[in-house]
Amino acid sequence: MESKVIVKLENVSKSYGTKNVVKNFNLEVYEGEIVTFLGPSGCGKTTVLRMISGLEPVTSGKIFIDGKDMNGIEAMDREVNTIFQSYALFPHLSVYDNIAFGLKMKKEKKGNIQKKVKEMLKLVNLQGYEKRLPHELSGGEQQRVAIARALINKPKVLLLDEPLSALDKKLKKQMRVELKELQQKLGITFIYVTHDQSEALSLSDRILLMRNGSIIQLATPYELYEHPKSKFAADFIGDANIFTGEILGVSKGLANVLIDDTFHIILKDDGYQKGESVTIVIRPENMNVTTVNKEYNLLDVEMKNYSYDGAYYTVFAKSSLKKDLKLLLTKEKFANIQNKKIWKVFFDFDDMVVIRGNK
Amino acid sequence: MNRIFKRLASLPISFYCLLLILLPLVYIFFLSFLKSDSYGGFTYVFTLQNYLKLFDVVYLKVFAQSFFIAFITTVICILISYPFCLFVNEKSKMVQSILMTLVILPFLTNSLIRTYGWMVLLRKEGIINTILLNFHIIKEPLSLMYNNLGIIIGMVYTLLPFMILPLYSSISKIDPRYIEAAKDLGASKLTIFFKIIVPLTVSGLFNGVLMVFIPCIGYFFISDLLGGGKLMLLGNLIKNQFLTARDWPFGAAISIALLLVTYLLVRIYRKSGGEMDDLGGL
Repeated sequence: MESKVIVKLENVSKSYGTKNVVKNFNLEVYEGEIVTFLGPSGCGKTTVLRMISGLEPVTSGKIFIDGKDMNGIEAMDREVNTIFQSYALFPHLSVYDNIAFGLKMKKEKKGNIQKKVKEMLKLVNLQGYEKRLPHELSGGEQQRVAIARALINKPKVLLLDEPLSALDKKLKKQMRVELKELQQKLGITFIYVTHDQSEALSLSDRILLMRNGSIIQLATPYELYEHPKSKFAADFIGDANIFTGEILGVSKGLANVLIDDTFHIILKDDGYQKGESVTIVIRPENMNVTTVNKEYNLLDVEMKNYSYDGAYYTVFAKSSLKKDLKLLLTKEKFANIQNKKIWKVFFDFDDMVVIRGNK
Repeated sequence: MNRIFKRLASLPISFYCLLLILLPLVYIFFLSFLKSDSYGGFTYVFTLQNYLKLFDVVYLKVFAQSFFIAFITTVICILISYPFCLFVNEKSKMVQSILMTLVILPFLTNSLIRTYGWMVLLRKEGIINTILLNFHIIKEPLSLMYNNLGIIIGMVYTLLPFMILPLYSSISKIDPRYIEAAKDLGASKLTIFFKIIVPLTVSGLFNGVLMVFIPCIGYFFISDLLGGGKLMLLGNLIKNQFLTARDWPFGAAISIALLLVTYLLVRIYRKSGGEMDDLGGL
């Protein structure tokens, strides 16, 4: 089933003076999906969101919402709503009046408003909170009011600007689940901005990874984690052991890479050229501790230190390579190596993601 | 140690308040219940006569006129201050501080002298009338002073900074995201002003109202100079009782009555849930 494009960005750029904050942005967001803009702070992700909402004008390019060109249409007239970073609930208005604000602007009938606010309060589990003022609510409750205030307008797209950043860790995880459930129930498109990669991985249908105002990669969480297309993507999403090396030669469908002038890694050939730079990414959970003797890709390592988080052991090990290795091991595997001074790590073909170049 | 230091540090201001504010007030209060004698003095006899005299039609009219002028002045000050403060608030920090300095700058000159300055501008042969006549915009010189208009011009001019300063302080504290959230929810500029900006600046507005309305009742020199002494305001009345009629107890009674009105205004505001953050609680 081909979904409808609900938000489309065409060559959208934004600059403040000579500083280009968003560069030539092209994106299509489909109806009913959650797209996350992920990137380090200052990468322009919030700016893109604000341009979609209309709070920030575009410098050049076009934004379409539900097929309509948004050029010249102000924030108040766009069929999108925003959940702001610290909610921006109106401090002088009660929970009821905050939630009803959008409908009052649309001049809906009082009876209608009452009915809809009641439904919303039920949806976000805040029945009986009508008369409270924002400062009388906890962070999580304020968050729910902000969600209700935006959703009551039935926006075509809900824009969320780091909505969970003000909450503590436990509440964050809970709200993450609630948000996703709510989204599935209502089928509203979410565009979600965050710098928290685990939030992005667990929430999104697709993640748009950004850096310095440009798109690095747009992919499903699985794709992005398993097949990052750049060193930056591999590094930013999850933990990774990253090695850069040079192809020494190719023969019989195998390529030989030299890393840090000491360690040879054999890769499946993918049309590599001699002398080409490659970046090899291995996730900590894919690092194999082995006792079997292989002919290639074995590295002698020595434990430096470890930590135990209840489910796994995180092990830092040193080797002939410059950077320490990070391994995520089960209890059984950890028991195997715990008392050995030197043990071996095996780099399997399937566990390595190879990125051409060293960027 | 800290507490001792705090006490010591607040000693001068406490002393100042006690000696120059509280003691004279107590004296005035005491005076207002005494009987005046015919030679500008008073006899130590308790009487409520001074207060009863306030309900004489002549004096009630003075109250009414004063409140009318003060009301008009306050409204005009509000109408000027809101757009001005919103305008300033949008500018860069640098421009903001320059503009606010310009607002405070007139304080460097004595307000009496500035009022004389207005006379030069507003007179029949004054600068404004001369310019308008020479450009043939008007045929007859306008009566800009020696009437209520003159008083109100003078009052608004003198008291405007007292409205701008607290209001600006309130407006600059509004989180811009409230405005953005309102826009996002479909509010027009006018709605944002009345539903978001005004409610969030009520404390600043009320402080401004107090700081304009009350002095406006008391600034006798403006009505003397720009009103030509034709209109009697409470300030003039009090001044006259002390300096001309030499009926100190009656002057004291009017002062106390004025104080009471001020107190009532604050009470009403507080009762309606207002806060006094900008003046640190009056």
